[in-house]
Amino acid sequence: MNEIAQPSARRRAAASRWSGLLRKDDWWAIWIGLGLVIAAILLFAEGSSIKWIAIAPQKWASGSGLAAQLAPQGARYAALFLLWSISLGIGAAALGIRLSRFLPAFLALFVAAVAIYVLGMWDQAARYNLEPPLVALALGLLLSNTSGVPRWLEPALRVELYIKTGIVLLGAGLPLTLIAWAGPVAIVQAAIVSIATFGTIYAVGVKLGLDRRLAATLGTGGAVCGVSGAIAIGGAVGAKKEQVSIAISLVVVWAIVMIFALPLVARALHLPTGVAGAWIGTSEFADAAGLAAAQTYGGYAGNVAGIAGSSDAAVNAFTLMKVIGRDVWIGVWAFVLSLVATTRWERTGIDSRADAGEIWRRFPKFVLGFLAASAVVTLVSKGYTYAEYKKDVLPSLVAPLQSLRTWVFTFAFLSIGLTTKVREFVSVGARPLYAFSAGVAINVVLGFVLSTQVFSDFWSRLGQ
Amino acid sequence: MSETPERGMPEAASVNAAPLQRRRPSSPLCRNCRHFTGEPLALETAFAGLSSLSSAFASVRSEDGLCRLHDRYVAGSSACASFACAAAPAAPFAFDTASTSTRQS
Repeated sequence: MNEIAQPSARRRAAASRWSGLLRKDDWWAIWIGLGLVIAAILLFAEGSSIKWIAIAPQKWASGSGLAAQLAPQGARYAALFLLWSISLGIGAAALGIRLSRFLPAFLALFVAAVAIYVLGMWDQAARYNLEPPLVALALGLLLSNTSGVPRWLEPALRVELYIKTGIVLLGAGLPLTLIAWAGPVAIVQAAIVSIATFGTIYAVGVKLGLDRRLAATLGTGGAVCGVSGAIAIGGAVGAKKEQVSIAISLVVVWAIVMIFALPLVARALHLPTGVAGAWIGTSEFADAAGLAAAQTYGGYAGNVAGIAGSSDAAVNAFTLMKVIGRDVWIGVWAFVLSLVATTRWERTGIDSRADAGEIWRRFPKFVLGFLAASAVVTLVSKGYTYAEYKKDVLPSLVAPLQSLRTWVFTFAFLSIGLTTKVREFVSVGARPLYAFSAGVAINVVLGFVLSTQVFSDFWSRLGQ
Repeated sequence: MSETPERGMPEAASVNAAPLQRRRPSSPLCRNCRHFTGEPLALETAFAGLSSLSSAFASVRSEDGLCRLHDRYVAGSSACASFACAAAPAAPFAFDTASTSTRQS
């Protein structure tokens, strides 16, 4: 009987492995993001461009000027909505969200994103801190924690699908050579801060009497990749449900505080955009939160006196630091901690095993899409001189993809606020709060010193 | 017939392996247990804030899920003495949105 059962079980296991390609938002971010990049390249090769559909509001100074700008562009905004609703809708449907419920909710999200993007293009926006990421986040937080978010809107609030798609698109604007040049420094800086932060949270937590599984879950939430780090390690070490909830609550609250605090402090210190992006990448906890902070700071370039560097440098430095320096190592953390939990820590009554395959299974696959997008656009740009690149490739290929990236990030920033309901968070207790906050202090200070002193020249050059 | 370990999770760095090493694909792993739920939307409902800055659909979650019996968040490849076979062996990521989600359906 076993001889008969085994092949079918093998087929089932194989089918399960492949099903991840359709059931994980990492892969859908790749399909959607790379699909857009390839479509843009094909049109570019034909002498055309996706820039008609990748519309973005321009600077405006008065209501009449804004009306004159928007009135003739209705068809382009409608086409942009169709593009996003079809591509993201297919992804959401594959994740199990009914299309009939996703589409009306996404229409509302899209309209709100247009309004926020337009507001951010007001020529006085920087003066009043009306950066689109901050406005989107604040508006979402206000709604979700006061009147509440209508249930019909919830199917469209897929932060991770949007942010990962945006990161894949971001790869199109980052030459592979730049990733190869800056990647090692990002890895070194991130490794120093990650190990110091994890060590602090874990040591303080254990000293305060926390269960080791909770201390480790908190530690990776603070040191590696925020909520994603907390759930990865929570599962790897077999943490109690309540312990994972505590870690998630602390990460979300601190991450949101940092979205507002880091750009504010960096602005007061007039940090160059590349340096600020590296600091945010080292000291923020989650990709979505960090990108909100980095994009906010990038928006100050050219609008706030004394801030050097290009607007993209903040997001680029953040992505190198957070995605390449920290996120990709989560599988290694999970494997090592799982090994320690099963061999050294108190038994839980559940037998688990440390398996090196964990490193790949938990690998954030969207990073592959980010690297692939960078590689194909680098390849396409290879035959052009710098002058030709600025004249042809940038406006017709790269800039429209950057515009699409800004849109999908705005959907994500709105969704963060709209899904963060503080009253639903568990009561975390004083000891986890102290342990995590000790790690935050180390994280922020060490990240600041490394970004602004030790590697300052390096990150400043990134913005030039 | 030889009793081979399950594909994808055999010898490497195996610990606490005594109850596990003779396991086959149909063996009593948490992911096949009725006390276990790995359905992503149900996990997002169970963990407030999970969908704010991450997702239960993320690769980093692998096939972890909640054990309702032990009230723990465990890897799908774990096992324990209280295994109770689920009615229908489902793929780890298969789910019915309408029947399980209170937030997104």
